[in-house]
Amino acid sequence: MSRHVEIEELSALLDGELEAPRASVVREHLAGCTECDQRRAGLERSAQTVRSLARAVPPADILQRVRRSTSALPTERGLLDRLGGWLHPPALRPAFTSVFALVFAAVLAVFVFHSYTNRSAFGPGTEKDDKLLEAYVRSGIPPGPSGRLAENQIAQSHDAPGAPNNALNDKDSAAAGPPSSRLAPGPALRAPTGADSASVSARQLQESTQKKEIEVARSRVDSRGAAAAEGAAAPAPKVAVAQPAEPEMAFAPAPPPRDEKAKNFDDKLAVAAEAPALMGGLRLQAKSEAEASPAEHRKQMASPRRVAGRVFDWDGAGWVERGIPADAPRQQVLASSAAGRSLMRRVAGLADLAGSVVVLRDRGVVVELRPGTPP
Amino acid sequence: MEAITFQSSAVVLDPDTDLAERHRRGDARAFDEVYSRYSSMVYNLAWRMSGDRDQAADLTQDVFLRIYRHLGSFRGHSSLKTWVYRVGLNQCRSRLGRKRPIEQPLAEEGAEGVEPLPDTQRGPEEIAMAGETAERVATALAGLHLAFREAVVLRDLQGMEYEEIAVLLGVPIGTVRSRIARGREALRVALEENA
Repeated sequence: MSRHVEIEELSALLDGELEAPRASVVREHLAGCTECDQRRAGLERSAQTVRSLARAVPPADILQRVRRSTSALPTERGLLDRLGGWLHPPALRPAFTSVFALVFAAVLAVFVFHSYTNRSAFGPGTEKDDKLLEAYVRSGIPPGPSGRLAENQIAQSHDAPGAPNNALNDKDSAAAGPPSSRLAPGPALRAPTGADSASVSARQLQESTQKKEIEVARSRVDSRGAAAAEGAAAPAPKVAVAQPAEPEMAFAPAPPPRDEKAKNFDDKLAVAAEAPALMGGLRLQAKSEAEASPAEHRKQMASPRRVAGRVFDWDGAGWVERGIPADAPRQQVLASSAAGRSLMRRVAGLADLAGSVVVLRDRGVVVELRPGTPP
Repeated sequence: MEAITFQSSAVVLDPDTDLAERHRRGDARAFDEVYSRYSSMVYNLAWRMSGDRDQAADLTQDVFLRIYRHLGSFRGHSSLKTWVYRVGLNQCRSRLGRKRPIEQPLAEEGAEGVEPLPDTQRGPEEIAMAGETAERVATALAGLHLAFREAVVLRDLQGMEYEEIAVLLGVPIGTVRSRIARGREALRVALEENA
């Protein structure tokens, strides 16, 4: 054996923890290797000096201190036993069950009430409204700095020639490089197709069900009303920011329902788009603010709006958040985060939303997107 | 005629779990018994790990407070000794991880208030040698890396087997072997530097 012995083996040899065959090899090596034998001796001295350290009796007052501290301290099991003893008497079981049932019912009631009030913006709740509620899809828009939400920006995206299709697919877009490059005006939003909708997976739905809410409601906006609301009947998609308590939109007869079932995110969005049809001709009575009173609408547009602590000014074409330059890139507005990009892609991917109003709700800020004009 | 046979069955409780069971039932003597069994072991472990007698007393108190609270949940998956060791080591790690023991004043052997245990295994020569070098060894030991110190103290001071240490620390036996060897080597270097 020519190589020196590892220190671990020398130490284990001292403790008798080396396997017999290996121990005999090591001993043989030590007999002829002064260096290894000296190292072994050093290790042995170390172990011996530690063993030589005296042991001591703990101070007598430790037990008294422990007893004092534990006099008012229930043991883990003792506490459980006390609880168990309280629960075990049969006479108390019904009382406990009743209290538990009452608490559970109260929590359930609060939850149901909360759910109901959240959808009340769409009018009186009906059984068919549940279909619409079903279509609520949670997703996100960036909570960060908001900027210009102008119709011409969206229009720019739609009108961009040769817009690639990959922006409609999360997987593709994830591999498509930095957000800014992918979301340059043009590729992000384009005329959508049904195939695009199918390309978004159910996984995206699950990912998007975390924080924010998209309410998609098909509202075939009357072209005259839309023109009054926006000052002109622009063929391009329109975007506006409004207060959460926005007037309810009028639902008109919808196109025939799609054949396929809603199975994933896109299908659910499609269901949302078909909400009027699902509602079976039920017409909501509310009208859009612009349709009801264009003058009042314009007046309101003229004054800044405070939404969730942020101030927006209407510049004649869209809402601009104060403090952010009007010419801020669109990416800063809606595509400054992955959630925002995903959201925009999904909205753009809805083939049936031309002429519809897509309401995006995020922490009290409501953004209306009008991807297209009525046919 | 059919024979009917009665078989008696006796439930034999492990002494450790019996202690835990008695503690669960509120028998104060059970905890006292645990204390009398392991207080010296815990105190000496804490002393050598911390290098300070006062801190060792505080650590011992904390350890037995935890033992008092959790003894009822002891189920005998390991021996009570291993369980107590684990509580003690965790307490040492928790305390010593925040404060380097090397900065603590070191205790002197035979100092006031410390009653040395009678040593029945070593001869007068070894005991004398221990008295002379104890402070130096304690200083060097307290300067070791915590993982090495644990391994060396458990092996050389507490006399535990490698396998026991591996179970206690939850590491492979090869790691135990390595830590002991490297701890001893580091201690040797430290002692030679301070000689």
